[in-house]
Amino acid sequence: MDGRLTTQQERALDAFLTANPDLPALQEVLPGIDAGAVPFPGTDALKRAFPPIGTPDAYHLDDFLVARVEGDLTMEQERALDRYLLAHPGNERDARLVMLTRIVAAGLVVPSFGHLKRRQARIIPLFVRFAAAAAVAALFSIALWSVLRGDEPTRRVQVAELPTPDIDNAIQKAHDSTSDVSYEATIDHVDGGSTDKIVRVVRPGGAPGTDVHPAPSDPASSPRTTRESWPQLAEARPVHPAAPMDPRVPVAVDVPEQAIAAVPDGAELAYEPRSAPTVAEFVLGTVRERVLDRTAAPESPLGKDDAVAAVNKGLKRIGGSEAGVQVERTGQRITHFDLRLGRGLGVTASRGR
Amino acid sequence: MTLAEYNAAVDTHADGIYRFAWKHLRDRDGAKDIVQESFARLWVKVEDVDAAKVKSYLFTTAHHLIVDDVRKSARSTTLEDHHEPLRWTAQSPPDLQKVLEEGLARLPEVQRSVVLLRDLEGYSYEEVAELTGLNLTQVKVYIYRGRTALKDYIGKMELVL
Repeated sequence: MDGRLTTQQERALDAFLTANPDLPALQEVLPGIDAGAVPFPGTDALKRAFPPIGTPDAYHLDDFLVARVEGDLTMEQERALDRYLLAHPGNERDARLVMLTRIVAAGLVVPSFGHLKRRQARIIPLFVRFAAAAAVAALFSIALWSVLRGDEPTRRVQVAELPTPDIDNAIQKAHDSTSDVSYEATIDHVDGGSTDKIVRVVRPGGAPGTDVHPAPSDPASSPRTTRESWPQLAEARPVHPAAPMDPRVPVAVDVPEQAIAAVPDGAELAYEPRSAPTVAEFVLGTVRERVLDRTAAPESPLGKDDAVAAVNKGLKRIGGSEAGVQVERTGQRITHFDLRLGRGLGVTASRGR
Repeated sequence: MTLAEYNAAVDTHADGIYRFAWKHLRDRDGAKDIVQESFARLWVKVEDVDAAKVKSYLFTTAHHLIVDDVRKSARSTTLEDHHEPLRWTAQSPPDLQKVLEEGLARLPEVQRSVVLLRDLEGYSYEEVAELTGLNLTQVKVYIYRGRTALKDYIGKMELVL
C-alpha cells in the first residue's frame, strides 16, 4: 500500500495470495487511512507571522518574546504575554534571555573622525607660486651674498658707448680744414630725467672753448633719456668757417647749474698732445677730459647693513611680519644670522661670541 | 550634496557607522577603515548623493564593506576562534556584554547586520531592508532568528558558568 515493494516482490505476493484463497482479504488485514476525512486541528497554530498574530502559546512564545523586544506587540498582546508568563513561570528565563539580546554600544569609545572633513579648495595661480619662490630665492641669495662677502667697497664701472665714427669724421674734417675754422660739438648731457644740450665752441690754436646752453628743445624731439647719468657725444660740425671767432668776445652764455656741475671748475685736460695739438685733437681731448674721464660725484656706497635692511624689508613685504632677516655682528664678525621665510620656516645660525 | 552637507554628514553619522562596524567586526582598526572607506566612497559621489539619503548611502556602503571583510576573514579563521568558550572556562567569568558580543560574532553575517542596524541605529524594518537589499519579510525573519540564536547562546553560557 505504501508502494515500497519492488516489481518482483509484488509478483511473488500476488502468487502467494492466489495460491492461498482462504486467507482474509488484504483490505481487511490492512485497512487504509482516509487522510481527507480526519483534519489536523492545529494547522493554523503552526503558521508563523512577524509580528505574531493572536495570543501567545508554547509554540509561538519565542515569537512573542522577540516581538516584545522589537516593540511590535499590541497592548493586548503585551498583556496576554504577561498573563502567559505568569501562568507559566518556567518561561521566565527565556523571557529574560531574549530581553538581554538587545545590543547596546555602552563602553565603546568612538575615535574622532574630524580628519574626514573636506575643505574648500583654494586655487593659487601657478605663476604666483613661481614668483614668490623666485623672490624668496633671490632675496636669500642677496642676503647671503651681502653678509658673506668681504668689506671691500662696491665699485661700479660704467662704460659708455659713443658714436665714434662721428668723432672720427669730425677729427678728419678738422684736419682737412684751415686753422681759422671753429668747430662746435653738441653734447647731450643727461642727468636724472632731464636732458641738456651743451654746445661747445672750439677755437683754433688750442684756445679755450666756451660752453653754450641753448634754449630747451621740444620734449618730443629732445634726445632720449637714460637712467644712467653719462654724457653722450651726439655730433660735431663746423660753424662759421669763413668768420673765425674772436676769443675775447664772449659768446652768449646761459649755462645752467647742471651744466656747470657737469664740468668741474679748474679741471685739467687729460689729453696731452704729442706736439702742437690740432683742433681735432683738442676737441677730442676736451671731450675725453670733461665727459668721458669725468669723475663721478662723490657718493657713499651701500654697506652691509643697508643690504640686510633691504632684504629684511623685502621679505616682510612678501611673507608678512613673520618673515625677515636679522644679522648681528660684533665688530667685523657675524655672530648671529636669522632668516625667516614664514611661520615655522626659518634658518638660524649663531657663532660663539 | 554640498561640501557643508558632506562635513555635516561626517559629524552626524561617522560615530554610528563606527559603532556598527565595530560591533560587526569586533576590531577597532577594521571599524575605522570601514568608516574611512565609506566616507571616501561618499566623497567620490558627493555630487550625486542626495543629502536626505546620505545616511542610507553610508550604512549601505558600510554594510557591503563589512560583508566583504567578513568573507575575507572567513577564509582565514584561526584555531583560537573555535575554542573561545573553552578559554572562558579557564579564565575569569566574562560579563554579559562579552558573552553577547561573542554570540553576536557567531551569528551569520546577514543576521548580525540586521540586528545591529536595528539595535544600534534604531532603523525601521523598511530602512534595514533598504540598506541590506533584503525584502521586508526577510528582515523580520532574520531578526527573529538572530535574537533566538543569541538567546540560546547566552543561555548556554549561563549554564556553563
